[in-house]
Amino acid sequence: MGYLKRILNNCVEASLLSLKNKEEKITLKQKFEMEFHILFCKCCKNFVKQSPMIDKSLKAYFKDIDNNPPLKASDSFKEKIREKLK
Amino acid sequence: MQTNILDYKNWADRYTDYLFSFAYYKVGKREEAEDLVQETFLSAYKSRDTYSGAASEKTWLMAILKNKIIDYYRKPKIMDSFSTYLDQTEEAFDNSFFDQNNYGRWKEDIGENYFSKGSDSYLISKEFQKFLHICLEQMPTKLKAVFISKYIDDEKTENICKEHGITSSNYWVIIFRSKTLLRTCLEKKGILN
Repeated sequence: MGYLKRILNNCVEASLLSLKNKEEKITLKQKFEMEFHILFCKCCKNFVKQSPMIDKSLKAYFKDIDNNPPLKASDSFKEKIREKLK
Repeated sequence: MQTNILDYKNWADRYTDYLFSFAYYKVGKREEAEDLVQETFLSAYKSRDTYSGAASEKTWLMAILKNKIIDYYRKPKIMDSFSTYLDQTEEAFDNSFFDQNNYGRWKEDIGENYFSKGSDSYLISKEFQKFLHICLEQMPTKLKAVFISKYIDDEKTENICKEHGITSSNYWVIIFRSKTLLRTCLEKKGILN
C-alpha cells in the first residue's frame, strides 16, 4: 500500500514531471506514475492547466521588449552612459 | 562610398532601457545588470570601426550584451552557486507548499478558477501584466534568472543549462519552483480567483 499511497500523494514529483514531460523524455515508469497521480488529483490537474497560461502571460510580457522595455534604467545611470559616450 | 556611422551619442537615450531590461532579467540584479550594460556600450564604442552595418545598431549592441552575459555566467563563483542555492532552500520551499507528512501533497488546494479557464486576452491585459510584473519582482534572483531565459529569448533548454552552468535536473527544479511561486503570488493578488 505504501507505493500506491506515495504515488497518489506525491504532488511535488507529479507536477514537476508534468512540466518536464512537455519538453523532455521521462521514463515510462515516471510517466505512468505522473499520469496516474494527476488522474486522481484535482490540485495537480489545475496546476497543469494553469502552467501554459503562465507561459502565455510571460511571453506577452517580454514580447515587445525591444520597443517597449518592461523596465527603465535609472536616470543617473543613463546620465553616466551619456557622459562616457560623449 | 558607404560608411556605417554609429550614432553613439544617442545610444544612452535609445537603447539603455532595452539593454537594461534584458540584462536585468538575465542576471536578476540591478547593479550587475547596469555593469553589463555599461560594459556593452564601452566595448561597442571601442570596436565601432568593426561595425559593418549588416545588422542594425540595436541588434549589434544586443549581440555584444549577450556575449557579456555568457562571460558573466562562466565565472566559477556564479556557476557553483546554483546547486548550493537549490540545496539550501529546498526544505523551506517544500515546507511552504507541500505537506511533508503526507508524501508531499499540496498544502493548500489549487482550485479551478477563471485563470484556468481564462481567456488569452485577459492574460495580456494591462491589469494582469501589472500583477505579473509585481510577482516577478518578488521572485528570488537565482530562480528568476534561469526561469525567465525561456521567455525573454525563446532559448532552448539545453542552451539555458549551458549558459548558466546547471544540470538538466537542476533546471527542472528551478522551473517548477518558479512556476509554483509565481502562480501562488498571482493567486494571492486575487487575480486567479
